[in-house]
Amino acid sequence: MGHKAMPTGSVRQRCGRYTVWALLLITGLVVVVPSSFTAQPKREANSFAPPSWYDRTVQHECVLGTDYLGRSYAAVLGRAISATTRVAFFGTAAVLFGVLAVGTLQGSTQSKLLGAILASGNLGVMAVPQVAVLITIATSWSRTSPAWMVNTSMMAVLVLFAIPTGARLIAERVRSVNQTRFVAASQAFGASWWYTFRRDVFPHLLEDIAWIVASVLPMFVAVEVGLAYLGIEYREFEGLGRALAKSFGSIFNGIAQFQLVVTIAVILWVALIPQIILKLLNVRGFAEESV
Amino acid sequence: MLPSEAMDEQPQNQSGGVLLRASDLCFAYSSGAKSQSFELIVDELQVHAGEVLVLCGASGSGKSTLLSILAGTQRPDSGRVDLLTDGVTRDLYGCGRQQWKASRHDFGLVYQDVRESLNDRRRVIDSVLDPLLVHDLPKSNIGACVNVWQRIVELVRWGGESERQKKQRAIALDVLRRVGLQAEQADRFPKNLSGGQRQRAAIARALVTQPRLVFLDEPTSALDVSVQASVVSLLRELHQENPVRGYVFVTHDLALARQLADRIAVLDRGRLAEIGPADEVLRSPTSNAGREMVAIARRELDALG
Amino acid sequence: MSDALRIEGLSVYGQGQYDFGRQNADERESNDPLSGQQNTAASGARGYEVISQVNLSLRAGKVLGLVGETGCGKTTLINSILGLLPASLSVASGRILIDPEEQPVDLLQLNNRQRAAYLGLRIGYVPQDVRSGLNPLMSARQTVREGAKRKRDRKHQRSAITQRTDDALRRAGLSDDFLRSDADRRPGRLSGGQCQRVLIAQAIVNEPSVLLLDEPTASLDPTSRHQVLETIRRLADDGAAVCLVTHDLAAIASMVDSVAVMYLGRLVEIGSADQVLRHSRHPYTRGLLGCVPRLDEKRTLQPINGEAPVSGNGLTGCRFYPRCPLRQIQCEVDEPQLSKAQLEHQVACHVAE
Repeated sequence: MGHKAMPTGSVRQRCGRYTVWALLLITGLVVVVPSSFTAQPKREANSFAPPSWYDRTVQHECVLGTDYLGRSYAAVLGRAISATTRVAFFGTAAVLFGVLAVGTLQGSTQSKLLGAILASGNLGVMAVPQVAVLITIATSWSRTSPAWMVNTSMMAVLVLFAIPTGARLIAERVRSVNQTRFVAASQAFGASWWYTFRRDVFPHLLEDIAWIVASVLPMFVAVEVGLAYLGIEYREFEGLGRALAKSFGSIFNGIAQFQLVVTIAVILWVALIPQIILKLLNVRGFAEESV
Repeated sequence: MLPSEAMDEQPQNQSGGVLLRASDLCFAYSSGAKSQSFELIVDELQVHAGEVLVLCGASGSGKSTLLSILAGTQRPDSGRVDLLTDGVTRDLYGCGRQQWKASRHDFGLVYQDVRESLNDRRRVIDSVLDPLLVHDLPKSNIGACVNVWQRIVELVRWGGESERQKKQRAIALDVLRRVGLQAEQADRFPKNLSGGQRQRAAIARALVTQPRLVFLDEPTSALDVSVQASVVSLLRELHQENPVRGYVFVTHDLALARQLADRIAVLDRGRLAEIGPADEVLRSPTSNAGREMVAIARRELDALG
Repeated sequence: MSDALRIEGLSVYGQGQYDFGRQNADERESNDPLSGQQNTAASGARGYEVISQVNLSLRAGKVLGLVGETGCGKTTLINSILGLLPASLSVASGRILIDPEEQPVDLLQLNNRQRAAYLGLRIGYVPQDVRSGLNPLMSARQTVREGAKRKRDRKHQRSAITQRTDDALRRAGLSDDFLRSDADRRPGRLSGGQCQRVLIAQAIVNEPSVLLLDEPTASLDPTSRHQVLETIRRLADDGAAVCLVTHDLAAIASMVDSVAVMYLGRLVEIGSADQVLRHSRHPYTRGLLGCVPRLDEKRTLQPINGEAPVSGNGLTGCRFYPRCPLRQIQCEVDEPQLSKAQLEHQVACHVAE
């Protein structure tokens, strides 16, 4: 048989797969690794002590100084990033699942009822400010209610708000791909719905999925930060919002301005990670693995 | 060597026997273009093993719809389409979903649009492999549970190719080579192929399961005349190679029909205006639609001398 | 009859790097000797060549068929007349003279505003894709009306425009029945042939002296194709200079006056319909004719060797050399020019006799 294994194709294909798996692994680590890795930092010095490299006279070794409780700010930030991204990843996953499920259902069935619900949901999303809903929900919980319940309810709101827009996008794409001749052909040779979806439709959704992730993930980060800054937070949860609020609250105390700048930089970085990854991978080329 | 192990074991139809029989077909649809309801009524139509049947007609005559109904992808309002294989008669729309699926490897379909006939996000070879994967061809002689085990092994050894995958790949490459695409081209994405090459790949996908019937819906109308000529030559070669395979070909170009057809069916506004041997239909068409089409084709071609 | 439009020495180059994806891939094919050698040269300083040294004239009252395979530059030629070249292409040299005998104006020297005075008024254009060529939200009559409004006429107001609109629709071969009942429908509810006629009506509503049609019959079945071509023929008989771009020789054979065959941005054969179609001399034209299926005999079609490369870059001699069945050593080095052996019938080939 004159067919040698195509080295270029296979290698590239495998590289692509490994990249995806590596990304998933990193994501999993961030989400799953328990807080033991970033254990509750101990008090090391006065609150808002300057970084060790800035002021040689201090007795601690905190690269970024200390926070309002005198803990190493680097450790606090690490913990906060982990906590915030965990929330953001869970939220994004939920949005993605909902968007794909609803969008594919709507795109494949073209159901009028679902279409109407989606359209009105979309209108609702545009008409009602998300933050207002979030604040209402957060304040309506009593102070004694468990944090996870507050947390979950707010997540649910965020997810519900994000679904209609994304689902319409996916539904439109699924519909147009379903009309192509290659889908007709694969149905004609007897492929099941799932097979057709996996092989023919899904590759066309990658860009939309990437776009949804890139816009939803920063949203979760921003909302967490914003709410914590407004004081709507739970004591157990130390995210980036808490770090921002505390360093901003004591902006004239010690060297808190420095920590404020660092915190803002970190927040921006965390929020923009998906965009940066998209840019680096050049998603379109990535999806097509173009020659 | 053609990869027809699965087929070779079965007794083949005698050339000339009826392979597909449609009776009392009725299909009504409102064509959005003119908001007119439209009715396709065909009392009797047979496709014999080894023949090329060309469905001819103006646009809106229902030829593509008839093709989809015959190919088992468009359920008619009433009537039946029977596939006769190995002495078994199977009503395409009356049998269950499972039976329908199982019969699909006997059908190959090629569509018109060159740009859309292959998934642009997947390599050509993957698209061609699809029918083999769906139908689990070539049939393996190991039991079902072993098959499941094999699947798991394939999953775990992910990245590499199992023996079975290599075999399927070899079959696909063989068919692709048969239609004039080399292994290197098979590994490209459709956008890196010319229109003619893409249509060849689509033909390869239709042929990879060694179907008994191949349906072609204006496969060359979007191609240049010069490319059309090479695709038509390919189809003729393929036809000579396997004399028992039936072809149903839709076109509005009578001269093209002439090159391929054993029989020509002329459709006019949803009715079968006439059907007969190609020579007869072209020499002395009996229906108005047929006469008009022949006259126009003749006038155009006369100018070429 | 006089020339209505004359193209002199037109060359069009593409800027920067062409998407050579398909081509580079072809280079790697070792088993196909046809495509290996021709695409090796990188694009030159001026970019890659799309059209090279084309001379062509459109006569009033005559139909010229411009024939060639996909990618030979025929649409680019039309677009350079219209000033619609995409940003990546630019005219390197040449002139496009409208009304060359009385008041020659070089369309290439005009800016957009000046050119607009010609487009739609002196030059009518029917775009390639019927469905996307029409605005789906405008009825047939509105579409043509928009064209009619381009011609400002102070004396004649609304009624005159309506008059001209209906007149154009009628001249485009649409029946009075259509004018009564269907003309106010949107293109989604018209058939392909009717859409094509509406496009033609829009192009001729201001009675242009030059009419350019890009693949007007590509998506039509033979019956409507025949009718559309008859309409075009009638327009030419009324005095318009018509240029009909197509890849299908057979479709236009019965109604053109002259034929120009293009290959890789060059004209390879020009002549009257009879000369080119019945007594063709260039091997490429013969190849194209050999590809046309005939009605009477079931003879084998003879496809041309190989496929046309994306661009003629890197070819030194005759562009058709790698695919030519009659090639000689001379053809590889020496590029043949259009000969003037016989009056009017010009062939760019060393071998053609």
